[in-house]
Amino acid sequence: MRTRGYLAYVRTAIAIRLQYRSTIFASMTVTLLWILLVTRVWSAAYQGRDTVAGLTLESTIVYLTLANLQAVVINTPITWIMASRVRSGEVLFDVSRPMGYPGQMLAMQAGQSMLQIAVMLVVTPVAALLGGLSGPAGLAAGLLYPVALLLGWVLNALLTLLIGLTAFWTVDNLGISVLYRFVAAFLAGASVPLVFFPGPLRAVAEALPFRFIVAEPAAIYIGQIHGTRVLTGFALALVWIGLLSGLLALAWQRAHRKIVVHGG
Amino acid sequence: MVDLKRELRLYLLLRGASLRGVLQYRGNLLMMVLAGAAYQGSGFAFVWALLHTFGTVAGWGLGQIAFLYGMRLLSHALWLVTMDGIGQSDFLIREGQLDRMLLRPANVLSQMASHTRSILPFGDLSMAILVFGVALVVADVDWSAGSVGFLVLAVLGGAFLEASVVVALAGLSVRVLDTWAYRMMTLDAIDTLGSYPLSVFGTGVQRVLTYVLPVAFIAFLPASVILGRTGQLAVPAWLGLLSPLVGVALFTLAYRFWRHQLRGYQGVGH
Repeated sequence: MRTRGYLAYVRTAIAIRLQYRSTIFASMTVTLLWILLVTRVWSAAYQGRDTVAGLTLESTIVYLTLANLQAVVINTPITWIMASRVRSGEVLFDVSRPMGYPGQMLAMQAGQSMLQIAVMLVVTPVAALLGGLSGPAGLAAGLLYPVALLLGWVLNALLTLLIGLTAFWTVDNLGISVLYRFVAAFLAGASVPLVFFPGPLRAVAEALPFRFIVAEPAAIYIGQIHGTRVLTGFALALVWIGLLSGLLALAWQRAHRKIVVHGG
Repeated sequence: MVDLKRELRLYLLLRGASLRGVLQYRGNLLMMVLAGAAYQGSGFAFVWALLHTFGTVAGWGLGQIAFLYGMRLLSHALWLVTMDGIGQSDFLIREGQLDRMLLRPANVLSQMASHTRSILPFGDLSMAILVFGVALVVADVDWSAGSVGFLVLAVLGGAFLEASVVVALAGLSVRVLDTWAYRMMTLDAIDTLGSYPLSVFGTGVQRVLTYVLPVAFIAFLPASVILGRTGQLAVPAWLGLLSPLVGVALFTLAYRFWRHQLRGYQGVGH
């Protein structure tokens, strides 16, 4: 029964997204443009050098092309939808349904991402042409890559919901969600592989969970990290998922008590 | 002239009023300024992390790229702080607010420009001043009265050029109700391509970005002139000197388009 309810959310999120087809097209174009620029800039930087910080130009290009396709999931309208439903009072209907509110939002995020991923799969050949792609570094890399992607997706969804919940206190969460989008994309290694970060910044990026959303899966794919390092990474990502789920539950408990329906 | 002075006075009056409105929400105010700064700051962090490892990109060092980047950001922040509200044309039309503006005895575009209560532009502006300030210290520039004057004109030209896109889109939104996707596409393209040495691309792309989509005029061409890097351009160097004129010309065109579209305005829901 519950599952059917959540599946309805997934379907609705896809339907909402399909209403804005020109937006999908625009975000595809922007992603492709960014892949074109970033890969050209890095090629220009490599000029005359084969390997820098252990990465060849070819693997850097594959990393960047993949990373930018993956980073699309960071930008979702869920925080905005949450805020607008708090503002309009519709959140009252959300919380009175016999399903958990965070679960509803998570299902919506899932539907949203499914469409984004489908679109990204369609543009992948173009992305490969503008940037560069090649097969995974090996069989293990090819098998572990989707697992890493899934863990990254869950982490991003949890972080997005936490950001979205701020709407219960501030009503308008545009500022903080824009801030999240750019800080997360940068610290996730979407445009600069983490190995090229200057020392202290790299330490910060490695200590935070954002890197699991983009850098870790892409690094596994190109074979930059392998063996036990992949597994310790997965374990760490799971710890982060546990921590953030706890935090989300706690934050939701507080937010629930905070609900104000404007104007009666 | 008297007309222009009156419009300017009205603009400042309206803008002042909307800014006082924003000051009421202190918490979100800080968040918005931070978000604006993070948006532009993360872009520059990309350049910084890149040059930290490689030293130069297509012959441009950190100081020079910071100069180019800072110039573009200054132009960007300049139009954003003054005309940000125009970017909300879709919303203003859908909500019927444009109808109200049409009834008032002041320039409609200027009313749109001043109505906004967004504070994000001030985040962009603070980051622009920071990056350009650093660039002035790091970049090795042969300053003269001429180059300082040209820098000021070129920054203004870049602001006009970016604003012309937004004004043209506002004209479009009179006919097409939802221009958000076009806005995102064009402004992100400017963001992406405007702030980097376009010599990372081949000569073909460089020419397209000069003659077809004139992004190169925003900062790349004038910065190449000021930094004395015109030797590597795929287009004639004197084009860089024209960038202030190109900005003003495109803005004038966009303004005419907007006026023309507005005459056909029918409102929504009729």
